[in-house]
Amino acid sequence: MSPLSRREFIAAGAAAGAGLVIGFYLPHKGPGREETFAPNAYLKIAPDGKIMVMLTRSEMGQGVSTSLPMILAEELEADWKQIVVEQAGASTLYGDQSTGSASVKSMWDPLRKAGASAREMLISAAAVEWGLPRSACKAEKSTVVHSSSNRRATYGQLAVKAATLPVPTDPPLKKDAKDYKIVGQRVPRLDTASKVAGTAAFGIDFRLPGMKHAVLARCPVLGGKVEKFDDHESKKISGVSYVGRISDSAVAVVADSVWGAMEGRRSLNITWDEGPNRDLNSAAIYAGLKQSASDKAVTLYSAGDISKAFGRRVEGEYQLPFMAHAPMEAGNSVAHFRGSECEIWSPTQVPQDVRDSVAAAVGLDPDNVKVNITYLGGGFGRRLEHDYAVEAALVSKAINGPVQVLWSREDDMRNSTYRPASYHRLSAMLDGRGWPISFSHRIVMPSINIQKGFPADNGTDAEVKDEASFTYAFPNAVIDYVMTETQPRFRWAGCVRPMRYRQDSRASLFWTSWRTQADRILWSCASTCFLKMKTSTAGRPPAFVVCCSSPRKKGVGASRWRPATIRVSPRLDRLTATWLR
Amino acid sequence: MPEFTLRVNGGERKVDVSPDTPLLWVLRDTLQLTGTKFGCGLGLCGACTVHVEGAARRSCSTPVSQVVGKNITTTEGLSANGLHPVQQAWIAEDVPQCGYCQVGQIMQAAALLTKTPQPSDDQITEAMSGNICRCGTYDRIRRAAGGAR
Repeated sequence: MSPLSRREFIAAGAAAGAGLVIGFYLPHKGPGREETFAPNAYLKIAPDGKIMVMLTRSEMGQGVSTSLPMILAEELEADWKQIVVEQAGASTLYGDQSTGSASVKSMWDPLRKAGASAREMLISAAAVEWGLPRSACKAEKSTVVHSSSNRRATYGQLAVKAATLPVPTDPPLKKDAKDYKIVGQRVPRLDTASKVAGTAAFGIDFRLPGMKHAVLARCPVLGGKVEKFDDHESKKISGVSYVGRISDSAVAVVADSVWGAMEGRRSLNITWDEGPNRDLNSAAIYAGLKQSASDKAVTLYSAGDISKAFGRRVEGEYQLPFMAHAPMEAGNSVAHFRGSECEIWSPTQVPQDVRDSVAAAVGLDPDNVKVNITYLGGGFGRRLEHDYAVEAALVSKAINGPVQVLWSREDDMRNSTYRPASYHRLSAMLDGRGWPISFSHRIVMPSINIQKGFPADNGTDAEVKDEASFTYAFPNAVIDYVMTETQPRFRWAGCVRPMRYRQDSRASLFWTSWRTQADRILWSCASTCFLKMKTSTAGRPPAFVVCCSSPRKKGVGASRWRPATIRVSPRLDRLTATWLR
Repeated sequence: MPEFTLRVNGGERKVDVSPDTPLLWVLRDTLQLTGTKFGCGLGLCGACTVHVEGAARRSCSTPVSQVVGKNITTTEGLSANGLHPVQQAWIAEDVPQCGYCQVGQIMQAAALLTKTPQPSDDQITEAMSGNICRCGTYDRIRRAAGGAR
């Protein structure tokens, strides 16, 4: 098959016994990989009426295993009860499968088009079957209906015929939300029953015949290495079958059970070379951040002129710590290295990165690494890292058999990737009522994107600038940013550093803050604390302050607080965005 | 290693493990009952909650030797079909997000309702306060536990 251009297209065909299969190809630039077409399947309609929707994102609690099928089912005019969902593994066929904050947004068009294409083909199949004009036939609830003759055929009955018809290039899509029957409704989650019964399989629950359990001893100082280790006592623990160094900085203990592996790890005697960060501590990190506050800053947002606002000056400084993401399900992955191929089962937000990093770590071509995605016991950005999967692959290779690597909660706290620490210096001028008439916020922190190797944009991280547009709209304001060097200790957390290891700690434990990106969470934490503690906005909800601080909305301001008329979250983002426009 | 006979979900199971092995790992790794989850290993989060003689117990910090001869119930034995009244209440409220903590939450709520069939809102909050949900489904958990009264 010839390589295709990097554009999306829909294809259809009949798979043996499958009825109608709709493939939707999304280009995805893999590292040095040329895409060729192979039929994937976003949607299969079986002769028995079952409608399989392929889930190309990871279910981590955000509900994509329900919301994404809803989008497709809407255009398909499907009977929701017939929908079954299948989790896709890592593939070159589904575009970028990374699961972040944009699954619905990024999949909205492809899923609608896939559903609409299938619907049009099913209608055509019925029209051909009945010898009637297709304009007189319509689709509803997984059935094509010709009302004047009262003819009906189910999608299952039409699927095989539909698969032989041409795929429409530009199927009509619903334009008005009032036409939606599934999207916009309260649809119970499809994963609820199994999660309530306890049968839903998370990564930690995955088992293979003969599978061993492993934990890793990692250097307590990030960036340190194993100097030597004595496994004499560990090997006395019942069930421990292997102890070995799997990277410069980690020793794996493999046993028949997790507890056996943990006992084996406790009995290990390791001498660490703590490396360049041996003397680094929290006080030094914060001192460094604070010192950088007087470095040259990049303005992220400004309004009015803070130098012309006079009043009572208040100041504050805040520091936020490095923080582990702590999803409820601790890090884990199962790997089975079989010489010329390796298979992974992982609760991951980045299956394609898992594939590529595992391939590099165990010396295989990415095409020979198969990645299966389990349910994720929370993601929060921690599972945009995939160190667990690489560790599992390395241990599996070392023991030549299937193994599950599990992180303990202590591992997660001590050796995780972290939300960056930050320092914030704030000041404001207050009017006679204590309301800020000017506001300034200097943010000092490293950039996650620069760590990941993305180029700086005018000396800053472009994403940081985007996030700064969301702020309290005081009439005179400056938000600026000093992008610090990352402490080497925190540059590469975890024990393994595969080629495409991604450092991204975009989440926090700040549960109740804006549902937006990590940087904003830090900033709003600092600025909200400052406003609460130092100004007369204290005691009022942040949303209220946001609304009241807008200079562009007549009638709502410091002098006319009308809390009853202000709608607070969850519409806050949209409200603010509108006002700032 | 010593052999213990455990009464799990109404049946007797022989396990050959060291006496200090936490019940959690015996359930998950020896008996392959993976519905009970590992969260912290220190009795701090509640994900591993099971019933011992009908009372909620953190299996991650319960040595197996302490529960020999006692009736242990895990999610697999809570109901025959996943439709214990508490599970039904959880489904009605569509409680779970990631779902990882929910088995522990349900076991905790079921134990409460066995002991106190008509708990007050405060009693629900108190009984459930040791179970962490990282997704923050607490409002629905509270409503579901109340709905199961």
